[in-house]
Amino acid sequence: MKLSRYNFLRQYEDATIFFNAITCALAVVDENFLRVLDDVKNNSYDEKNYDAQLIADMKSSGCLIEDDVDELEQLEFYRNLSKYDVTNFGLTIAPTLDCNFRCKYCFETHPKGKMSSETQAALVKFVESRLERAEAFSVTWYGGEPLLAKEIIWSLSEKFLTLCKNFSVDYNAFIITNASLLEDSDVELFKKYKISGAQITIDGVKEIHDSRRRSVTGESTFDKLIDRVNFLLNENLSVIVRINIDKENIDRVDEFLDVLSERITHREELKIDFGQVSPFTDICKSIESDCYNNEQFADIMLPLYEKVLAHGFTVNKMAVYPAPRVNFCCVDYVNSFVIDNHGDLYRCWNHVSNLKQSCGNVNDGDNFALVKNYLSWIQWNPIKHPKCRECACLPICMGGCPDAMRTSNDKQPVCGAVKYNLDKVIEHYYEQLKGEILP
Amino acid sequence: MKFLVRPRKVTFIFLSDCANDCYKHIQGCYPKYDGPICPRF
Repeated sequence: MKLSRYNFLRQYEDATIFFNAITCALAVVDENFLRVLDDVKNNSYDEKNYDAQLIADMKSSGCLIEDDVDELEQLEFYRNLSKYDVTNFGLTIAPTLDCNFRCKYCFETHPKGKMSSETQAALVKFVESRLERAEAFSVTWYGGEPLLAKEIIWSLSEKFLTLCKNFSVDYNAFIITNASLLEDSDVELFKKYKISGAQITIDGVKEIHDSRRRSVTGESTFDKLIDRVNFLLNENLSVIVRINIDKENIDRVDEFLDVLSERITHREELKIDFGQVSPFTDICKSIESDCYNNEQFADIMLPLYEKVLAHGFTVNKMAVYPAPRVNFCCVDYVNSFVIDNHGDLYRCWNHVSNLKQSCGNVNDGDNFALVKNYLSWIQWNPIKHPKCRECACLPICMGGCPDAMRTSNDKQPVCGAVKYNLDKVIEHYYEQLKGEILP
Repeated sequence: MKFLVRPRKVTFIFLSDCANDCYKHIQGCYPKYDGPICPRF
């Protein structure tokens, strides 16, 4: 046996804590565990000398591995298995890029126009051709503001559901919306069309939110959005309130959480997610000085979630717990696409409407060429980079945002927050869970 | 060895939010692609 390269041992108070980045197991360990570690290191490991349950736990947690296991090769194998899997098909669809908000950090332009009926028909054909091999199909409605084109969402959803029924494919959908156009009557259609949840961004207390996420008409939207969050929660839909964080609003997060805990009726159901404002494109370059980089954001993220829990939003308990990743995002899955209202296909959400990054168009059918804009993302592989190969956080970071690497000066992987705050995260979860030792 | 969060089996199962499942004493799964969500949005 040998030791995993992804083991972490930390001392907090009088306890020794073990974490493995492949299985993400977290455990309190004792001297017997440490003895096994020492024996393996000293080539004196003999399984019959130890408690059988301890050894079974050390193996299942990923701590102890067979001599002929190469964890990097395993990671690459699982990564490829997932990347080239066509049983799951995912689309992010922007039925319009138009928006009724003008958020100061938005990276998109907002041209008028909605997806034409011809493009919708081509998209349905594109979906049909992919469902033949799929077991599950998931859609994220995106924009612009997708509810500006809600009639297209309903119409496409109807067709997607029919296709999924014909091909015996599971279907689910989610929406990223500013929620200002969400009407009570829409919720029945959400349910009919399997839109199970919404991410709604509210950037702080009324004054902060309204100044950062300005509506085109200039009217305040804060109270309406709080009402819409409550409405969806009451209807048993999943809601994520997204708070986009930068140096401008960080100091008033507490105040906003106070407001949310007073005004949200199902606090225990509300997920809260902190977004890192980033100058994704030239369009939002002007906000760069207000942005945190990944290392800075890692420092503030954990205290922010601690505040969320202190305010009684209990569903967020495991929100920052590391998860094993085989891919960072949809960029390098062969069966995932972002589609704008013209039918142009992209790999990354940041690229929408940037034709230089497009990898095809649904109007050209499913036989689009394997162009560079497709293959370069599919074949992007952090394991090829020495920085990632040598990193003990690789299984929970997987190279960070591929688009951030593309736009970085040195073209090296841009480490995710977990690289910088893992010790604090482990300590946080030890404190949170130490009274709940699993049987 | 006392688990606070159980290890995830390296079996790919279509499931989101599995950190919660592992924490809730269920042997969890390794996450598979389960939606075109960008983690940065």
